[in-house]
Amino acid sequence: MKSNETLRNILNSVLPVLLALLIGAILILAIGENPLEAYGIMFGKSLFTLRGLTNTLHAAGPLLLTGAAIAITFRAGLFNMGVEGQLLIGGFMAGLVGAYLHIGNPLLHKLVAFAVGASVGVLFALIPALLRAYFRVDEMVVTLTLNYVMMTILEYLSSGPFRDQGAGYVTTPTIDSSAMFTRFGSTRLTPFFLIALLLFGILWFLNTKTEFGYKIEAIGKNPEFSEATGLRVRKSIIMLILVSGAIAGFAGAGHMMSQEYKYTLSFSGVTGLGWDGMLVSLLGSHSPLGIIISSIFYSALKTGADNINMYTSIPKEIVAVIEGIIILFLSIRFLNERFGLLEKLSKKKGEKNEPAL
Amino acid sequence: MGTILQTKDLTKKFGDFTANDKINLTVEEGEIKAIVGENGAGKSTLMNMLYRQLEPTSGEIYLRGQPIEFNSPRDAIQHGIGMVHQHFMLVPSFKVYENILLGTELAHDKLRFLVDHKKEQQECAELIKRYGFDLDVNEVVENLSVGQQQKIEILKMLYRNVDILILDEPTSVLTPQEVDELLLQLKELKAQGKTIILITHKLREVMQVSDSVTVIKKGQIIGNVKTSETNEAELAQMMVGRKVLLTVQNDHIGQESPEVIYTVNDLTTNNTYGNIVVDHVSFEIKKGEIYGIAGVEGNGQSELVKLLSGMMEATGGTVHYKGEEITNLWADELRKLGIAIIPEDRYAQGLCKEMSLSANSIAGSTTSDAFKKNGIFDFKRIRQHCQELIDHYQIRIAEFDGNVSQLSGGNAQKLIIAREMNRQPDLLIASQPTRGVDIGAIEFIHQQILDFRNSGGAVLLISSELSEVMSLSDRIGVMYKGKILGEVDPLETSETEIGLLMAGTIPQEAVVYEK
Amino acid sequence: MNLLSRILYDMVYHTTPILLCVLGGLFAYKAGVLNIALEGMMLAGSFIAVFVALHTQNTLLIYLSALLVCGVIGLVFAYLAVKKKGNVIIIGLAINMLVPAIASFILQYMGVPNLTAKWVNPVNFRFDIPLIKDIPFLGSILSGHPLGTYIGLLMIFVASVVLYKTRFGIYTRVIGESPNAATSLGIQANKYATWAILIGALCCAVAGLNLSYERLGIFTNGMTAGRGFIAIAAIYCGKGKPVQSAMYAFIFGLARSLAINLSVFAGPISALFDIIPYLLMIAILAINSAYEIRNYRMRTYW
Repeated sequence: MKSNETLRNILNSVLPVLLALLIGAILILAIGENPLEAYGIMFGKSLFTLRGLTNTLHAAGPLLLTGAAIAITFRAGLFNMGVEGQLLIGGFMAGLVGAYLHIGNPLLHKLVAFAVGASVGVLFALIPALLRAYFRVDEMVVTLTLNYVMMTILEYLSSGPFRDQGAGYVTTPTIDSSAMFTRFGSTRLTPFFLIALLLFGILWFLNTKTEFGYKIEAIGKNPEFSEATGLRVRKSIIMLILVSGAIAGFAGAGHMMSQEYKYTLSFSGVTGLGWDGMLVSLLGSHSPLGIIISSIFYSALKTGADNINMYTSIPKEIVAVIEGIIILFLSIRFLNERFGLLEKLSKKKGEKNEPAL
Repeated sequence: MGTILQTKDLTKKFGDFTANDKINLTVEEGEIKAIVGENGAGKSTLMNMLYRQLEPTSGEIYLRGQPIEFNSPRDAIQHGIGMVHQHFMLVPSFKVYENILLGTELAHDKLRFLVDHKKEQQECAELIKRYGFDLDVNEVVENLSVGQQQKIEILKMLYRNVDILILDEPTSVLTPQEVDELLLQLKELKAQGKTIILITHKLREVMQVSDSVTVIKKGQIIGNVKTSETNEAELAQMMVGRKVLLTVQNDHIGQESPEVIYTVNDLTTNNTYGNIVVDHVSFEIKKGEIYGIAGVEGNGQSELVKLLSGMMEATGGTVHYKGEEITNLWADELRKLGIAIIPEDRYAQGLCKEMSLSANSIAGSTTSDAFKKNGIFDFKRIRQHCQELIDHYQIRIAEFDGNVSQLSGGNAQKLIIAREMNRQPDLLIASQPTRGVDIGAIEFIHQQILDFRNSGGAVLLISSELSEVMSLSDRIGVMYKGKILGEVDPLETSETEIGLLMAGTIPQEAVVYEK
Repeated sequence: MNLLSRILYDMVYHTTPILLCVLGGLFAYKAGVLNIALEGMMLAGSFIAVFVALHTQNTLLIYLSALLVCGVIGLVFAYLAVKKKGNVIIIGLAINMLVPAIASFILQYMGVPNLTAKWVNPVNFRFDIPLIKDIPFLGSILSGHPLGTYIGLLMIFVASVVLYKTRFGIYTRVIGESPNAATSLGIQANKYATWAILIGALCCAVAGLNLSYERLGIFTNGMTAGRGFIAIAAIYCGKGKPVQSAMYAFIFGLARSLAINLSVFAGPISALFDIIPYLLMIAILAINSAYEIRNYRMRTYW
């Protein structure tokens, strides 16, 4: 029973990916390129070389955190779509701390930047959290809208007051070297990846072993029951949205200090790290292990896409298309009890149905 | 007059569960046929098959001797079978006439694509007049009482000219007076040639109105009798399969002490629309006493329980517990003070269906340290605790690690009671504690409540089952339109007296609180 | 034109795309389907209109292709949401992500930063309505707009009639408010939900087309800039009633018009004026909701 369910869950994540890759392949064919070659480059260069693999892991760091930020709220039945905006303001403010506060001490400088990044994430998340809890305003519409507000504000700030006048494009000044994470050897990997992993581990622990996780599960599955048994739903959802905002802000700060070093208008990449977090969380069915796997998978797709651009004429935007299609298919469950497809399969195979990991 | 409706070996299975097993039902034209059975016996399944909301697994249905082939409620209506559901199928924001004509709107004479609201109003007014109902076609449904809404449902079917009218538990939400009115109306419809199928578990009504009775138990027909040739006790025995005591043994001798433990004073609150739904409610409960609250559903009982269990805020009044004011405290604070709560809807407020048994067994205690070690859940202790509850309260489970959804209604309710009583409370607030559970569980739950009372506990019992309140309580307050209209002694009162109170009339003998 | 009538004219002008989204989107809202893909559908309309305009000057063809593409997206939404009972929020978000992704994929492939239909001169699309244009003051505000604006204004009336006076509208409201009542009377909920979603998609096509083709002849990615979400807010605030919801759309249009017309006087900080409509929307949502729950005594809002 149980393993059957696990297998079903895994297939429900794997099938959309395969289908999306298939549609992506058709698109690649349509512009006259060879999809097999393209995917070969994509995954080969991102997973099967040391350089590629470390690049992939490096890029997975922020995804791991934005995925967690989304998962915490999704599981509680909340739609914090503001992770993107919270990440942007977190990164931007960490960039200002890095560039304008000449602290000098590498550890202290980073700590301050992280603290500021996470705090502004919290402050920004406070708006939808309070509106949700005290005025019953749909947090999804508010956060979606606030993302535009934040983008406009940051565009103004980075092209006006905080613009690096020496640069030929819109950017804030580069952060001090004391705020930059040093890379491991010749790889792009920095200690930030380990920090992200550690933070993720802590969240995982809190989620499975403490009241924090119990609250998330209960509120997500039955808010009325949660209130009736004393979980104080209103207070809890404020707390959850704020935690989500803190993680997003923290991720933004980390991305600033380990990858971007300055705030540009493409700080968050083609698809946006916050939105990627949604894919990662959905693909991993909001479970810790699932999020780790899917963040590495999606990070591979993204680093791979950078390579496609170099070797073929396929625009790297293909990865955004694939991302959209995956999410579209993740909205429905391909397999469930009714279809019985899995039961038929497992009967053919006898009773051997270990999860195909 | 011959047979109008007949089923042959009608069977419905849901997975491995057989809800209806080879049902052979015969309904004569122009009769009132009562179908009785306990909760979960399969009455509603049968009716939903007749009405084609459910597809039978096997078997046939014959209408006037012809096998029927229609496969939707709409078809059923066209063939003259109409149904009034237990939960009304009305659109609350629509007006009466819009609801009656829903699905058969009248088109405008010239602009065929438009609906002619004026013509609709006229037709409905005529219909209402013809059948002697008392309704305004332009009222918005959400402003109407339950009894009036039921009339709309019946009119909906009459407008469609059905010959057979199926009513599913029509009286469960009505006051005794409204029930009488409905039964009269049904006799009137019978006189006009309609065939009526009445699904109910209230035997008094069966005896009052029906011509013949079919008893269903565990998905099977176990008896067909003429109403004139049977009596309530016989039907009850057929329904349950053994002789039951219609009331539990209650000697009404608790350890009642003069010590008042719980005082509610002028408690008031309003609903979303700003209407007062709990109106200056006052009562007190002593140690070793069961205080019952009776009343037709929807008269503020739900809100009162929510107020007292920390889910809703009072706009006025106070609640005192052991001399301390606890007005508007939150659910976790109430539990810490030793108040146990059996909520009205067990799956909405009592349990989380998609969570495990053990997770549910610690609900309400997660904020305390009882199940934690250094702030971290001690899963071993939690599982052990859950197992203890299961053993001690004889909860029948299929899989220990499974979710609550595996439990039957009675066992789910037992889990709530186990969890709440295990905290060794001093006050128990029990709302509709036996709703929708089987007879065996009812007895068990009633015994638990009595035992708790006998050991010195105080109980607030809210139930719309009059017999339950009557047989368990030491004192009864009757709620009507948010007020406690009167307080009676169950040993000295009659059902008529309480019935009058429930309908909002204050009989002279009753003790009345003037507030 | 003096400043006041200019602001009011611009209000109508800037309200148009939001208004169309609102009036189309409220059908799905009434049918109980939350369609947050209005944003993506509108962007698709914007893209296709200019994309086709690169190849033809036939306005009818341009309209038809935008309607067709958005119709297909609407059907995909309806299939996944209604037939497959998928999570509508995720479907909506996916469409909102997918449309700009495909657009930028194509732009990258074509090697251009945006699409420009050089032959388009937006002034040519504006035309006056006889009679109305002669009304003093009002004429200068309501007349002289492109076709999309007139469609939007007309839709206020059409949506009201359809929703309240036709079977389609009545059933659409029933399946949203009381699905059980619908099934018990044999009203096919899926059919009406699908049509409701489709109407929204088609209106978004016109909205998008208005935004890119009729106004500028240019498509840039992300040009819808959250107007779809503002439309959703307007629908929420107006509870899906056509006239009320349209009023909210006009309020947002006014905010935008003020931001643009007053920015002349403000200097560089005026870049921030763009956020005014969004903040206004959030404020209105909050006030609306606070008013609605003023009597709410339950401790949780579910």
